[in-house]
Amino acid sequence: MRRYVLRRLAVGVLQALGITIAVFFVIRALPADPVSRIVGMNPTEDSIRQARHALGLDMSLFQQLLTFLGFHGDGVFTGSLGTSWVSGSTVLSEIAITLPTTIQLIVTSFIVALVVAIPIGMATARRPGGKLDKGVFGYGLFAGAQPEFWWGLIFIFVFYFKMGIAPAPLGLLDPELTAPKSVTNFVLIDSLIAGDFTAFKSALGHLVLPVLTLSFLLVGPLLKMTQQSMSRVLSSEFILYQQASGLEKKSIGRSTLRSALAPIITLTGILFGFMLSGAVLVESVFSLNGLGQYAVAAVLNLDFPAVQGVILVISVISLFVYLGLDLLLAKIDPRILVK
Amino acid sequence: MKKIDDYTVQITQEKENKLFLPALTIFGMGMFDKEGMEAQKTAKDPWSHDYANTVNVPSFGPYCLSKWTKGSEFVLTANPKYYGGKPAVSKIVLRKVPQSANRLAAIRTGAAQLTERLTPKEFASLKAVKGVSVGSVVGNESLFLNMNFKVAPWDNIKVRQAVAYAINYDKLIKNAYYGQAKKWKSLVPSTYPGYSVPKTQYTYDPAKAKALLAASGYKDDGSLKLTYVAEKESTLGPVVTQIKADLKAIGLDVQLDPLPQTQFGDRQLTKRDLPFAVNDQEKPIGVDAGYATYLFFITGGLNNMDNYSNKVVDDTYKAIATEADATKRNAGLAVIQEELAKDVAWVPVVEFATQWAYSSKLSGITWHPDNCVRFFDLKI
Repeated sequence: MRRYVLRRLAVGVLQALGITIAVFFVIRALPADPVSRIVGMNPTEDSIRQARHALGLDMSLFQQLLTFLGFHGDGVFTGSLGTSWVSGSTVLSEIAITLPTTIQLIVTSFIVALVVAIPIGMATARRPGGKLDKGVFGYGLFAGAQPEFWWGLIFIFVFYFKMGIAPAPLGLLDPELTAPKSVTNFVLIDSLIAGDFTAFKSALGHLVLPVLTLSFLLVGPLLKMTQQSMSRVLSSEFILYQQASGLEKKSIGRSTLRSALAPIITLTGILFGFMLSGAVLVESVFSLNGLGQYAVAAVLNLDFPAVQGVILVISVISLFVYLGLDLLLAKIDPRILVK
Repeated sequence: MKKIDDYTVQITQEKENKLFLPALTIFGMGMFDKEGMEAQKTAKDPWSHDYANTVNVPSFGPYCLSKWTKGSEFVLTANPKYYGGKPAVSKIVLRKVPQSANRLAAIRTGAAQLTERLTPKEFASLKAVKGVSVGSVVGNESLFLNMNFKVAPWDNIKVRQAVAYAINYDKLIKNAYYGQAKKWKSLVPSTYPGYSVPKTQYTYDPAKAKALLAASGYKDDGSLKLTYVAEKESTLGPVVTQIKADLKAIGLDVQLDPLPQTQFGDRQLTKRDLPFAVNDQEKPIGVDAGYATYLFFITGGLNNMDNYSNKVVDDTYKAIATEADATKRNAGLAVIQEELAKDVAWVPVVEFATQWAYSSKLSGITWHPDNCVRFFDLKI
């Protein structure tokens, strides 16, 4: 197991670095010049030259890459992701603020989605063709055809504007509240650490609609996968043997679920990696200052250090998420490690 | 420049320049706190410019920056040492809310007390809502089409005139601006000193537009693009859609080309190679027609995005730059505006209202040329 983990980590680090280097070159091939933001109107040749020098763009691509990686001072290998060309803050500090918002959103959404999808998927697999199965079929078609931002706006209109039971879509906390002292940058955790239950309730309340929006979309594919995986396992010989042997339904259910979990876990990992930046539309609709919003702004503003930093961070997180899920899979099905 | 005392300086000009006093009112001329700025200087940032741009601004305003989450919000609290006294509103939270529909919902439900940059339709929807007021001023915001004089076919006067006659201005004001705009008759804001209405005017006349296009000799091959800022799709979308339809009706089939703000700015301000674009974000912050002329239309001007050059305009401006007699100065500015109209330096489309939606309990909102609210003036 240890060798497996170390091997995966080593390969993953190389993968993350490879992706970041690829993005490094791709973004510099874009037909747009980031220098204009600094030089402003009617710049002289001298001011353009100074700006290009300030951004390090007068060096060769290879030298820029070495600088980014940390061969000429601070860089990736020394834990620095550079300074944003837009805000002047370090990219790491900005990601440290935006990433926790996205993590809170998608982790909570996945928990809700899995809690809903797995039991319903199991139930529909046991009774195919039933009312629940038909309802799920319709839901799967319906939910899969809608963009998430549209649902977000609908939920805001219904629950906030018309019914007044949800808080305003103005971020993670009420504007009147003072944010708790940043320890982890996770507002939910920081408010508990500070004993600020008003902020905790406010943050939890503000997460309800975005989580509902995301989980509404996530439940569809997870439910479908659970249903199909469970159906496949339920028709397998060892389950039929258990049923013929008169084992309790609960025990059969546990065996079935354990065998059916692998594809569900794999799908969860894929969706999680996608959601790290794919939640940007939900973040925009609910004014959440998350990683997706930061990434989009960085691309639109040609903020090269921010784009590179975001890609690297997402790659590293995905690496650990996939590794964690693979270890979970190996725990459930020890044959995986042997293979 | 001579210091008279701790609060007075004397400035002597070689020649009187009527732009001088308006220039002093420009919001960008803030006063920095010398000691505060010097305390932040580093070898890399000897004038603390980076500090002022990215961290805080040591100055003398009525509010202090107490929190800044970049890209998300900043929180201002009253400056206890402000020479003008304590502001009525002691804490301001400015939060970025990307969706205008959410800003609208927030103001309607009272979650926010002030918002801006809603779409014209959204502002119109608030007029009948209890507890919400809409403040509206036609100040210096305008929409125009700019056509690059160094890029064919826009270097052809007949093509430019054809475009100017092709636009259905009344329909655009009604459908895209919900009546919250008026036709722009010159190329400087109508509220500015020195504004005059040129005799050359362009009204909606598609027959004349077609004739001019035919006379220009230009054969449309469908390659023309109408560029606009992508982030402004919600407000500019209806505008460019109609302009596209109006131009198609006279035989010009332009493709809509949304460009991210940064790239738009790069092409327009730095490279100056945008062929044909819709623009609604240029506002001369010096309240003077001469300032606007100098900014946009003098050969090599700071924001001469179209590479426009006209010797009459340049020479006239040079002559009136230090003209002390206001009547003569305004006459010169009128000559300039007539030349700009004849050349179709831009196609002036509309002047639209700068608007805010705010709680009926809030008062004190006044218009300034930077279109920003002065929080010190607010009372709730």
